[in-house]
Parts: sequence; C-alpha cells; structure tokens
Amino acid sequence: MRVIRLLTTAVLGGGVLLLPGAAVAAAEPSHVGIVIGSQYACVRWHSGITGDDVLNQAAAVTYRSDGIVLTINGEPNPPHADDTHFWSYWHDTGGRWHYSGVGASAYQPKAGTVEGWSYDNGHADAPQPAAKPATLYAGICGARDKPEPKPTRSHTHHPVAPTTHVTPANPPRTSAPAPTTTTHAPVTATTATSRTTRPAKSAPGHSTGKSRPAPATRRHSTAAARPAPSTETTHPALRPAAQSLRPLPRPTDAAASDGGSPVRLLIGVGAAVVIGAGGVWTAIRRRRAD
Amino acid sequence: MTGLARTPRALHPIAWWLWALGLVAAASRITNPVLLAMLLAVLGFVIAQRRTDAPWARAFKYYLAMALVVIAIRVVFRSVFTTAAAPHEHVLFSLPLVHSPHWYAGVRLGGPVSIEGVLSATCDGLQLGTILCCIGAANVLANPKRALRVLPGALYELGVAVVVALSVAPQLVESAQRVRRARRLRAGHRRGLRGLRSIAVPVLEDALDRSLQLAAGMDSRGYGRTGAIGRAARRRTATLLLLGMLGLCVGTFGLLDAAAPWWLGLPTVVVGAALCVTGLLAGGRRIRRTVYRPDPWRAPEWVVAAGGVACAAVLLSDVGFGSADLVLSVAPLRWPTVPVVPAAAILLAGLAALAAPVPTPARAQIGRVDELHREPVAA
Repeated sequence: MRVIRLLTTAVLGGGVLLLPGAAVAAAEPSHVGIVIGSQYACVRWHSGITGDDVLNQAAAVTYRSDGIVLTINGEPNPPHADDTHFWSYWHDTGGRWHYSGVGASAYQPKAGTVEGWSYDNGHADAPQPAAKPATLYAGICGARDKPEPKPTRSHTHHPVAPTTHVTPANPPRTSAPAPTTTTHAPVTATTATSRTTRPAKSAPGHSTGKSRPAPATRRHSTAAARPAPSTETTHPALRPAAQSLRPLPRPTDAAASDGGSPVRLLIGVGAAVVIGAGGVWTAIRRRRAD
Repeated sequence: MTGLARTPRALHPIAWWLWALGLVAAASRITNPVLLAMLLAVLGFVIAQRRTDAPWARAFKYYLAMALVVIAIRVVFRSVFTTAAAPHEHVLFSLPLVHSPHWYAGVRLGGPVSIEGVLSATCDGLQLGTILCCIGAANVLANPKRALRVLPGALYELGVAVVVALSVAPQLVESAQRVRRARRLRAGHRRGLRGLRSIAVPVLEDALDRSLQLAAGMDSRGYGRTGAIGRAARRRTATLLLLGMLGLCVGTFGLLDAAAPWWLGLPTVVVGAALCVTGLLAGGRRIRRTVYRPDPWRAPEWVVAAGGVACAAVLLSDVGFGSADLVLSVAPLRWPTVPVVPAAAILLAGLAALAAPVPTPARAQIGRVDELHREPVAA
C-alpha cells in the first residue's frame, strides 16, 4: 500500500514540485479546501459532506428562489444571475480546474480536494477560479492536517482561521496559472449551481470531478504549516482572504432576524383584503342587478 | 372633467392595455406575496367596477382559475423534480427518491420537500399567475374589436381573424344557452347523447348563420377589397416583410449569443425592424379605412394609462426601496416586508377604477346579436 502511494507521489508530484524524498509520512487529509474567486478557506471534511455544505461553511451564500446560487459573501452586488452571470462550480482534478457536471448539493468532495467557485460576469465561458489547484490543498488546508492527525472537535466547523492559512497576494510565480483552456458553456449553470439534489445520497459515481487526494500536496503541507508569509512563494496566487470569509450565520440566527415591521405587513395584507373584498362585493351586486 | 368621466362610455382600449401592461412590468419584478395579493386585489376591484356586460367581460374568474392552476403546477414540479434541500432548510416531508444515472446527473425525482422550496414555488407561481391576470384584465376591460383598430393596416385582416376566433367561444356558449332555454320552454328535456345532438345542431346552425351575416355585413361595407395596388407592389411588400422577419430572428440570436460577431446583434435587429416597419407601411397602404365612431382619448384615458405606466416606472426604478423588498426571502426564512413606495404605486394604479368612465349599460346597447356585427365593420 505504502509503495503504491509513494509511486503515485512520484508520478503525480514529480512534475509539479521538487519534493524532498518520500520519507516523511504525511497526515491523512481531513479537510476540503475551497476557493471562491481569489479567496479561499478550509472546511473540515466528514463523510457525506456535499459541495453545498462546504460552500455554506466557508461563506455566506444566498440562493435564488429556484435554488441557483445568487451571491457568495455578498457578491455580486446587486444580486444577479442569468445565463452569462452566475457562480460557476469547479473541482480540483489534480492540476487543473474541472467544471462540475453536477450541482453542488449532488457532489460529495473527497477529503484532500479543493472546490472552486468563480463568478462569470458576462462571458460565454465561465472563468476558472483564480488559483491552480495542483498545490492548492496543501496551501489551504495543509496546516490543519499536519499538526494533529486527529484534529480536535472545536476546530472543526469553523471556516478559515484567519492568520495561519493566509498567504500573500502575489501574482502566480512560474506556472502560468493560465487558463487550461477547458471551455465550458454556461448552459450548465443550472445544473452546476443549483441545489437540485439531495446531499446525502446523491449521484452514485460521477466520474467528473473525482480527484485523488493528491499526494504531492500532502507533502507540501510541511511548508504550509509555517505561518510566515514570505516562505509561501511556492503557492499560486491567493489573496488574503480572512477578512472577507466569515462564518456563516447559523440558520436559527438568521430566522430570528426580523422581517421588517409587522405593522406594515398587517397594513399591506389589510389593504389587499379590503380592496379584494370591495371587488367581490361589487361583482356580487352587479350580478344581482342583472 | 368629472362630467366627462360620468358620461357612460367605453374607455379607449389602448388606455386599458397600457394600464395592464404597466402592471405586468411591475409584477415581473415582484415575488413578494403581499404585494402580489395587493396587485390582484386592485385588478379585481377595477374589473368589478368598470367591466362591460359583453361576453368577454365576464371571463376574469377563468383567469383567476388559471392562476391557481399555474401555482399548483409550479409547486408540484418543484416538489417532484428540483427539490432544494440545503442543510439549513426545513423539511416538510419526503417523497420517494429515484436516482438518475450518472450520465444524466443533476436530475432526479422525489426526495425531501422543504418549506422554503414550496414557498418560493408558490410565490413564483403567484407572480406568473398575476401576470396572466393582468393580461386577462386587459382582455376583460378593453373591447377587442375596438382594439383591432390600432393594428397596422397590413395586419388588419390577421387581426380580424384573431378577434373572430376569440369571440367564437363566448358566442357558442351564448348560443348553447339560448337553445337550451328554448328547449326547456317547450318542455323537451332530453339528456345524454341524444340531448347533445338536439342541442349541437341548432347551435352550429346558429353560429353559421351569424358568421354569414357578419360576412355579408363586412362585404357590404367594403371589406376585403385590395385597393388599387398591383402584383409587383404586393411582391415587394412580401419581400420586405420576409427579409425584416429574417433580420429580427438572426439579430435576436446575435444579441443572445455572446460569441456571435457584433454586427449580428443590434445592427441586424435594427435593420430587420426597419424592414418590417417599411413592409407594414407599404402593405397598409392598400387598405383604406375610414373611421365611423372614433374612440376619443380624453382625460380619463390619460389618468388610467399614466397609472399603469407610473406603477411600472416606480417598480423598475428602485427609488425609495430596495429590490430585495420585492422578493420573498426564503434564505433565511422570514415574514415578507411591505415596502411603502411599491405598495403606494400599486394602489395608485387602482385609481383607474374611479378615473375610468362607467361603461355603457347593457340595456342602452342595441342588442347582443348586433354587437358582433357592428363593431369591426364600424372601424
């Protein structure tokens, strides 16, 4: 088993990074990374977690009434979604972003992978998220995996601990972050971004976004564990994301928030009832008169 | 002005259509159930106050029924096909789940039905239903035969066909009622297939008779004559119209497809529209019409039309309220707000019920049968 894993490491990692040998045992990945535009977060993985769960744990999301993702952390403002303006959903497939073929709530990411969201602002082809995913997971979540193989529970459901995982905003270094020109029609917007399917038992075996836990990135986590930003030049361009990625308000909190003044609501309903009743009364009177 | 408003007469059909289309534009931005309910109430009130006694003016209840059907379909489809079950949603109940194969991922049947999903589907359906009812209100309030008058001359015959087709159903119902009444008076009360036969034949005969009368009336007033324009001119008109339509089609495609070259978009649409207008003008020249009883456009028309247009303008402008107030918020789930400005705009449109003149009472009209014949010919 170990041998196979090492082999994969060599094959996959070799092309991307120069690794210091295969001696260091890496921790099992226990998180899922997420890149939203040019910002990122790390979310604890558990069995059955869906892309939608990951997104909701990392950011404040609003949905259109039909389930299409409308805004993520308040973007775009004003909220708008149509065929060429929508949040596109991507998977990390070890080296390139892969446009998701299924909705976020139908997809169950594996631990050690990275999810991507990018806003298509009027282009025919949705742009890829800002970072190239080959080394991404380590950059985002490596520090979480490394320190403790079994992270404590208190750690779990919080998005991004600001300081440790933030890397500086820099243009990508060598590896032309550039468009791996996989073009995807925005037609799939609905499937990709709508929460059409149920989290728990969704799409049995989608081959689309399946990605290995990328051994190379695991290795890289040693470097990522150090908070010092200056050493992080090996990471693709990422902007400090901490201040804008905040915890999602608990559903109960949100429900408790007031929905405007009840007086106005009553007046509005009352006006509708009075006018409607007036119409019905007139109609009945006219029918009697006939 | 009040004197004008009190004189019983029909409001100009275009005023009613502008009013209704303004409300359509307003409704297209709203999924807030309270605002939609207000809009529906306003529609119902205006119709109850200002509808005529013509057969088509009694149809609003059918539009309301259609709105209910739309809502039901919407909710069922939302529950069966695209259930939203995000982690934070409140599940009402679960339907049996059918998975689709991976190559057809993203679609599935059944699954949990959430309050949020049902609510948003209801409000979406209510929005569509309200829009249907706005169009229905225009159909109920405006005399379709008189609205025909504003069609471009070239489309006039098409319009006549549409109006005749539209008035066939109410006309048939009326015929059936008359025949049944006559039958009952003669105590000939038969049921089932035989009863149907004894009604169907007189009804069809009646309808045919009326059509022939109508045709004769139209013919005697100079209808269907092609004027003094030759074959070449007609060919030119047809070519212009065809090219114009083609331009419109291609241009629309160019506008919608972001990858199309720029000249395929707006320029093609403009050229197509220009060709169409030219064709219609050229085609209209061969039909000469004089106006027998002109519909006046006076103060009430201005007030009614302005009410609808102002309502649309306010709701499209986002001045004095946030666009978020117009939609029902299901994430997080909460009571709808009632923004003051849009509510006032909707109520303002309801002033049409007072501004429009009272329609001519049925007794003052010459007679039902005559109604169908008189109107288009008068144009």
